[in-house]
Amino acid sequence: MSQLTTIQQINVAKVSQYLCANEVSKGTLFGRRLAPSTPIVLYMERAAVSWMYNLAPSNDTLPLTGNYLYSLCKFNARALNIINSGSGGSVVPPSSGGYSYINLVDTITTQGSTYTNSYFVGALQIATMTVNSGPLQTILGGDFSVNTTTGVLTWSQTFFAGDIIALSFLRLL
Amino acid sequence: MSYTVAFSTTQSLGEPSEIIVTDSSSGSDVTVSTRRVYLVTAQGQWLTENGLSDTEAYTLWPLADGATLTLDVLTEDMALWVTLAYVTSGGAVANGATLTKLQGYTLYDEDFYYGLTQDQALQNQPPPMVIQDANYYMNKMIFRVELDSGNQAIVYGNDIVSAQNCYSRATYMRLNEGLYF
Repeated sequence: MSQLTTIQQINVAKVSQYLCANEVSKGTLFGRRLAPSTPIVLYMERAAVSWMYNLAPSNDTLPLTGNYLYSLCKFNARALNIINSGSGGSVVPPSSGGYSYINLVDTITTQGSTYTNSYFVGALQIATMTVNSGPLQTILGGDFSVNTTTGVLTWSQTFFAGDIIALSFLRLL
Repeated sequence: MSYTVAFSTTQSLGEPSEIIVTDSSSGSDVTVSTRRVYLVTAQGQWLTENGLSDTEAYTLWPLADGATLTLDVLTEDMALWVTLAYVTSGGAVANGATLTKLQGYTLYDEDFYYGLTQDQALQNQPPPMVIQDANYYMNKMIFRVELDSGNQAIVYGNDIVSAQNCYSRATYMRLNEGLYF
């Protein structure tokens, strides 16, 4: 993976900040997972690097401070994935060998036996699917198949508009 | 026809004492003979390159001097009312050609704040590390909050006194860095 640019490091820090804040919050229930000051520190250091980047993006101290900022970030791979799947940047994660964990929840809009979502492209280990159509149902993997090239899920039964579909699976980065 | 006044101000890295005024006004007016720039502090004093004044003072900016003016006026971070006025030979504002903006100038403190991060990055291997100093991060956060608060007092509140108070507290920390950082 090539060296991240300063703006990419700043964007990772922005995402890492809220991921850390959530993780710190979880620690109140399940025990401390992360130094509680982590999101605060990320905010402070990002503010400094952002300020210099906005004022002088070619400043020769930015590689030092940007790398330092990046070194403070947690959940970096997850942050990169979040940035890539949204519209927030153009960070390129590793081209192979990495996975992201997808929790997909969507509402069926068209009646039929198929459901299409681009998240299925490159998906792995889709074991079960849950469809909430009136009473909650859990559908075993044998009742549906997913084409991980076209992103089309085909079910032996019928989806109705308004059904909620939920799947958890790994996906190649 | 009269002038429609428009301008912006910036600071340049490494020159925290300077304010760069860029005039983007449009129009024309035969009664205009020159421009004036007024800088007014939170204490109601006028600021020029000669220093602070309790009586009205301004910087003359002849039309022939172009669209950019550099004023070397700051000794610390300040919130200022900045006025650009097109005036007649008698000194009166020409046909309402004047514009006033509240601006914050924070290059002294922002540069210092960035320097703290630089120091941390350079000391990324212990020992000793500044971040291990007692209350280092708490004080750095307070410093950050003062600067952000001052900026917000300007953007959201148009409140020069609150903004200057915030900047002044940050300046105090910067000038007494041995106590805080």
